Parts: sequence; structure tokens; C-alpha cells
Amino acid sequence: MSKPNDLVQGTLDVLVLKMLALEPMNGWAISHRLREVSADALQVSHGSLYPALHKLEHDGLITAEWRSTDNNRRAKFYSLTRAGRSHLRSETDDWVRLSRAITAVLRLQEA
Amino acid sequence: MGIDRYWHVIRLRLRALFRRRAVERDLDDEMQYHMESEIAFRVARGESPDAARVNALRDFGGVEFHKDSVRDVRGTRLVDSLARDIRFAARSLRRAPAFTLVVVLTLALGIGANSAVFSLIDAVLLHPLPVARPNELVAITETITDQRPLQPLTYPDYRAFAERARSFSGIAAFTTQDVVVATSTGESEQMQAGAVSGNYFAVLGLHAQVGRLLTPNDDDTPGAHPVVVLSDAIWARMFNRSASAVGSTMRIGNNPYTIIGVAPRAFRGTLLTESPRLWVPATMLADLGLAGFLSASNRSRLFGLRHFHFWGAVGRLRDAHLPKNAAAELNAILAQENAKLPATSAARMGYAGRDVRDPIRLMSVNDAAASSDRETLVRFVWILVTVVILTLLIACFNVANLFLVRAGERSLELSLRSSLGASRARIAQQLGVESVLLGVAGAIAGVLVSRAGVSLLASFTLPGRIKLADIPFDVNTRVLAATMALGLLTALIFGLWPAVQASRISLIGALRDTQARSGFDTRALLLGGQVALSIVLLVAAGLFVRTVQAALQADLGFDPSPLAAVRVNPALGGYKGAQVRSYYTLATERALQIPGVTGVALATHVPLARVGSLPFVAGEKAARSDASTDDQVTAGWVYISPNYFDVLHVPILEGRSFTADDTARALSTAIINQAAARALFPDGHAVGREMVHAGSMRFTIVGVVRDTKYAAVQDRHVPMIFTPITPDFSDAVLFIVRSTKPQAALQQLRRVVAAVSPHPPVLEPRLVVDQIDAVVEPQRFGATLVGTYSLLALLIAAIGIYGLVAYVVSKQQREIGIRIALGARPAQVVELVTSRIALSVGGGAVLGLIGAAVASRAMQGFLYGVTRTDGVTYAAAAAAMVVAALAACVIPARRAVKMDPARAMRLE
Repeated sequence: MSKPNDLVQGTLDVLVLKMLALEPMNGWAISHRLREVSADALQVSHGSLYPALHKLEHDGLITAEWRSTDNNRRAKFYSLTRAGRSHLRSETDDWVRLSRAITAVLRLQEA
Repeated sequence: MGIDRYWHVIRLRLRALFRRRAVERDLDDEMQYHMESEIAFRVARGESPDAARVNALRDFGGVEFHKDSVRDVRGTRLVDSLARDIRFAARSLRRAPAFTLVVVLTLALGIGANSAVFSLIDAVLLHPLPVARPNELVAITETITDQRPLQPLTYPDYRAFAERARSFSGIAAFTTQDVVVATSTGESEQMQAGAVSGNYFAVLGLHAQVGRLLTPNDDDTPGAHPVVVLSDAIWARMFNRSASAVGSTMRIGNNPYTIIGVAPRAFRGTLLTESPRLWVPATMLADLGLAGFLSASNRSRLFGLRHFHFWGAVGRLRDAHLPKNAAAELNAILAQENAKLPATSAARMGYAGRDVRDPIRLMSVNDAAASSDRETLVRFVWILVTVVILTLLIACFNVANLFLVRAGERSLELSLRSSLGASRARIAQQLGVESVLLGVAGAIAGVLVSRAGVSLLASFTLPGRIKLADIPFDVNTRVLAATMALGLLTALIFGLWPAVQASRISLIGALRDTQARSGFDTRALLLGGQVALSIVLLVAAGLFVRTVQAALQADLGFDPSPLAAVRVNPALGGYKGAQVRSYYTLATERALQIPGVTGVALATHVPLARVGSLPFVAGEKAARSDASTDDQVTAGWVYISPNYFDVLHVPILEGRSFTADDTARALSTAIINQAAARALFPDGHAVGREMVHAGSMRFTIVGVVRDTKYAAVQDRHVPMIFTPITPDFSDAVLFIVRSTKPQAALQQLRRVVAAVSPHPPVLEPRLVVDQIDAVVEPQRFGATLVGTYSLLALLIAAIGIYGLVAYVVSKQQREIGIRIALGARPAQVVELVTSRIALSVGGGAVLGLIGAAVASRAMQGFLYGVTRTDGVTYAAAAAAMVVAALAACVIPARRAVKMDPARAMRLE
């Protein structure tokens, strides 16, 4: 059972929200997309995505509905709520600020 | 955050809670879909199906682990474990049906009895009148003399107040009068009518349901406005709540009245002791068929007389905070009115006692509503309150004790569970759930008990002749909620106590069974308290029962059992003069023909009825110039037919009975009883002497009759004056028959008197003996209520004792077994298991007897024929307790004695 490392644990929510900001998706599609865009750098067990999704749903940041997929299968599709969208925006801002600060520190020339 | 977000979240949570299966299925489907998609994806990438499945599962991680994480997110864990606890608690309570039943019953009785009695108190004493801003309203009373406090006003004084007092925005007057109303079926029905000033409803701030209420215009000229406002009760019963009732006519007495409207539904007058069913203008009072003691000339001057105090008055203060100023203003107006008239002392006007300063007093209209003798009522109600609170306490003690006994039985189970890893909080939650379950069941049963209690209470009468049946009251929800909360709290506190104890008991200790004494002292204390309180209740009930008994056996001075009576009022039928005479003659003749009837007499009152009393002075004292109020003798005044004493079998001790001659000369001769003779003529010769009433009414005493009880059984013999009924006496009068079969005679009497004429109606048929019951009605109420509660308390205490002895026996099995094996006799075994309990029962009983001796002080005024420290009552209470305790011990003690020592010792 591979546990996501701490960084990912903290940011998994934001990544999921970002994925869903692009378009409504089902669970498998989200995990597939995450692997693609991060080029497998983010080691997340697929299963751990689901507690995260349900947590976001219970917090009212995303909402779910059962829909048919392209190959006519019923799947649970998640989409962003208004609250989720504004949450993502503020999280993104925070992340950008933080990563800029960290990058700046790491780029300091050693004497 | 938007509202829609909350809504969304709440819906999810509710779904998780109540549609658990569907939610779980969704989760399965979702994960299933993930697997299939992943496998399909891997196969498409070229993996073999088997490898794809294995890899997909590996990448996913533990399915059940993730499912569990998802469940955590839903936040229904607490509820889930609660549901399990409820199921578990229900199962374990089902396994202990006796315990469950007793706890639920105890709680139900405690809760139910309390809310019933407190609902009653709320309705009688606390409930505000259904009028606008009752805090501004005051009842205006006049203290005529120091012996006649808080009386109604005279009409002229009322008018003076209403016209001149600035402190009030309005003052209304009201009085009640029994009237006869013709029903739609042609029968007549007696009911109370209110005669009220035109501004009455406006001052109270009431509005008509239908039509209109009375206005000052309806009340401007005596006899000019025959209009009537119906109560909701009459409107419903006679007119089926039809709006067309307004405008139709109704016969009251002999006159037609126009119905102008219906009073508000909840309004039933301002006094609890009165219940007017309809209201007419005050100036119509004389036309209702007013009491016949007013002579024709007085009747016409009714509204000008300054000595008929029959107008109750209620005023609306302009400033609710200044009742003192308002009273001062009214007293000033009264003084001006008195100054206009030649000096009239109260004694001259025919009232006993001395004049007082500032006779006008104001009281809150709610206080005035309850009773003219509010103090007695309040004291009686306090006895009831004490009784129900004691009962609730006993119930709580008992519930506590039962929980503790049960905890003792379960200490092994609890310590096992705690040693197996159940946290203290977990055990507490489970015990708490059990207690709440019991508490809720008790509360629900309590609602049923309180409903039954309220309907039982309705058949009783409070002091001040307040018939509870006349007061609409129901279970008060606030009271019910409060008592329920108390019951739940008791269950919770004493249900959780074992959890606290269990956390202290070590498993080894519990298994070794050395904890037999733990918690015993608390239990013994609770039991002692229960016994003490039960004894207080038993003594109170005993004193009431003995009072009722004494009243029934009291020497009344005559034998009431062969006597039956009906009341008629020729004036209500519109009869006058010769009509009245022939009515009496005819009715008497017919009554005498009833089989078994040996005599028929007429009187305004029978013994044991309440009689108004008036002052009399011995003739020679009245003549003296220094006559003072100390010479007055207050006596009840009864009008009788000449054969009255023959019919009642009351001997004339001195002098003679009335003759036709006395009857013809109306108010000139009198017969007095021994008490009156003693009081008026202490030197012992009454016959032939004179007595005077109200300064000018002189009576020659022709006879002295033996004392009989009037007013109330518990009173001493009061002075009584008898004068002859005139042949055309037209006020309420009783036909009294003496018969060997009084019950049958009563039925016939009703019929034959009614057959003489449909008017006036024949009212209040009763056996004279039943009046004894009526006068001790509050005591009977007390005896029934306290008696029931004390028997309950006794039963509950017995159950508590049983539980405790059984507990001791089960805990000391080994010791008992050893002792039996070593040759202990049964008596010694019994002593072993009951000695400590006997101590707490005995201690409790002694405390209870002392407590009862102190508490019975409150009952003083309600006891008759028995002192509050009556030895028989106290001994009986103690004996009842001892018998109950012994009975409770029998079964567990037998079990101890019959114990097989070999088995008992193998138990370890």
C-alpha cells in the first residue's frame, strides 16, 4: 500500500479541484489525468483519491452526479461548486506565493 | 458561504444517516467503475487481462481501507455506535423486565401525578384571566366591618366611584343571580346569570365572537333593555354555534330577552367561584326574579339603597404602579358619600363588628378570582403541592435505588467489559443510553398518567366551594416538560453512577465478589429517606381519612338519613301572592301522598347547608344607651314552616313551636337554638324575651330548640335564629320530606312538585345526608389524593426493600452457605440478611414520624374530630410500613434460608 507523501497529501485537494475546474470528471478519469500531467511524479495510490473526493463533497466544494460515460457506463461525475471555485482560487494564490518564496530562498547564491 | 452550500451539505449528511444502504452501494459502484476503467485502460495499453487486474488492484491500494476512510468522512460514526447502544440497551432491559417495569412505572407515577396537580394549581391560582392587560385590573372591595372584610360594593357607591374616580380608566360592576332559562326543547334550566354594568366588557377589554357585547347604552334605565350576551358554552350547547342566534329571543325567568352577541370563548367571568352562562345589563337585575327578601318598595329602590353589598367591582388603573393612590381616592369618595347621609354605623345597617378606617381595598384581579377565602385555598393547595413533591422525591429515590441494585448485579459484567478494553466513556455512553431509554419510556407513560390524573381531579372540590369540574384545565405543557426533565435527569444521574463506580471496581475484586458492601450505604440511606417520606404521606392521609370519618359520625343533633329535599323558587317562575300560596299548599298535599312519607316541611335551609349570618342583640341590651358591638351575637337566620322541627325530629326544649298566628304576623316571633340562647341570654331564660336585629327589627322568642349542626360539620354549634315562612314567601325554598325510603321518596318528590306546575323548576334534589359529604369535600379530596399517593409510596418502598434484601442475599451467598453448613439456624440467617435493612427502615420510620408531627401543623385548619398528633394515625402509619417491609423481605429471606450450602460454596 503506497502512502502519498506528505506534500501530496496536503495538496491533493487542490490538485483535484484544479482538475475539476477544467471539466466535470469521474474518479478514475481524475486519477488518470493526474498521472498524465504530473508524469507519474506524484505517487498517489488511486484508492486514496476517494476519501479526498468524498471529503470535498461533504465540505460542499464539489458536487457529484451519476451520469453515463462515452461507453454507456454509469459513473459518478464530480464538478466544482461556486464555493469550490473560490476555494481553488485562494489556494492557488497561496501556493504561488509560497512556492515563489521557497524558490527565491533556494536560488540564493552560496557564498 | 452561500445558503445553497449548506443545503447541499445537509442533504448529503442526512442521506448518509438515513439511506445508509444506498450510500454504500454508490461507493461500491464508484470503486467498481474505477477498477473496470483501469483494467480496460491497461489492457488497451497491451497488458494481459490478468496482469492488468493485479496491477490495477496494486495501484488502488486496500479497497476496504479506502472505503473505511470514506465512511469516516461522512461523520456518522457517533450515530452508528449510538444506534448499536440503543439496540443493546433495549435488549438488556428486555432481559430485566421487572426492573424495567418498576422504573418506568415509578417515573410515570411521579411525573404524571406531579404534572396533574401542578396543572391544577396553575389553572386555579396562577393562570391569568383571559382579559386584556390583566395587570392593570384590580378588584375593588369594601371592608364593611372588621368581621366582614373584603365585601362587594353597594350600587350607589359603585356609581360614585365610576363617575368620579380619576385613577381609573373605567370601573365595572357585576353580580350573579340564578335564573331559569327556557330551552329550545321547552324545558327549563337553571343557570347563573351575570348582571353587569354596561362598561363591563369594555373595561375588561373583551370583544364579541359574534354580534356585540353590552355597552353603557344598554344599562341606562332600569328594566328598559332586555338584552343578553351568551357565554360560549351556552352558545355551543343551545345554538350549536350558529351566528343566527344573534337577534333571536330567549326566555329568562318570565321575560323575553334579545340575544345581542357571544362573549369570547375563554371568558367565564372574573371569579372562579362563579360561572355565569350569560350576561344582562345590571339595570335588568330586578327583572331576573331577584331574591324575594327585598320588599316591593325596596325592589323599586334597588339601585338607590346603600346597604345591599352585592356588586363586585373591577377597575382598570390608569397607572398600574399606583394602586395605593387609587385606593386613597376611592376612600375619599366613599367618605364624601357617607357625609351626605345621616351617620349610619355598620351595626345599624345590620352588620356585625366595628367600622374600620379606609374600608376600600384593592387587590389584583387574579388574586381575587381564586376565592373570597384565598388564604384557606392557598393553604390547602400547599398541602397538595407538598404531597406531590414528596411523591416525586420518593419516586426519584426509588429509581436511584433500583439503578444501584441493578448496578450491583452488573458489576461483574461492567468490570469484564472495562478489562476487555471498553473505555470508561464507552461504558458511560452505553449506561447513559439505557437510562435515557428508561427515562423516555417513563416520561411517555407519565403523560398518560397526568391525563388520567387531570380527569380524576375534575371530580373534586377545593375549599371555597371551587368545583374543579367548573374550571376548564388540562395538562399544562410547561409543567409536564419540567417534570419530564426532572424524571430524565434522575434516571440519567443514577443510571450513570454505576459507570463511575465500575471504573473504580477492579476486575479482580469484582470476580472475587468482595464488593458486596460497596454502594450499600448509599442504598440504605436512600431507602431510609424513602421510608421517612412515605410515613409522612401515610400520616397525612390518615389524618384526612379520620377527619372524613369523624365528620360522617359526628353528632349532628338530628338524624339526616330519612330526609330528602328539593329546592324551588316561585319568584323564578314569576309567581306572586296568592299563586305562591296555592303552589305551596298543592305541592305539600301531593308530597304527603308519596308512599312512606310521614312529613313535609318548608325551610330556606336544611341543617349542614351554608347559612348567611347576621347580628342580633338581646332586647334589654339594645335598649341601653351604652349598647356596643360586643353585645352582638352573630347568628344564622333560617325561615321555616311551623312543622319543621317535627319533620326533622329536633325537640323543642323550652317554650313552643310556631303557630299559624306566628306565620301570619311574619317577622315578630322567633325560635332560637341552645347556642343562641346561651349567647344572647347567659342567665338562662330565653322564652318570652326579646331580641333585636339592625336596631329596629324586634322578635319575641317563643321557643328554644336543641342545637343542630349548620354550615359545616367541623364547626361548633353556631347560634341559629328561626322565623316563620310567610304563606306567600317567594324566594328559594326547600321542600323537605321525611320518609322511610328517602331515595325513592326523592324521585317521587321531584315528580309531584314538578307536576304542580312546570314553573318554577324543581332544582337540586338531594338527600340531606349527602350534604355531610359536601361539607367535607376538600378533606375527602385530601384523603383520596394523599391516600392514593401514600399507598403508592408504600408499594414503592416495599419494592425498594425487596430489591435491597434480594441484593444482599445474592451478594452474600457464600457467607450464608458457610453459616448454614456450620449449623446456623434459619432465624440467624434471616437476621444476617435483614439486620442492616431493618436498621434503615426503622431509622427512616422514626424520622418519618417526627417529620409528620412537624408537617401536620400545615393541616391544622382542615382537621376535625382528630388532633394532628393523633396516636392511632401515627401508629397505623408505622404499622403499615412495618408490614410492608416484612412482606417485602419474605421472598428473598426464604431464598437465603433454603439455600443449599454445597451449591452456594461451589459458586466461586
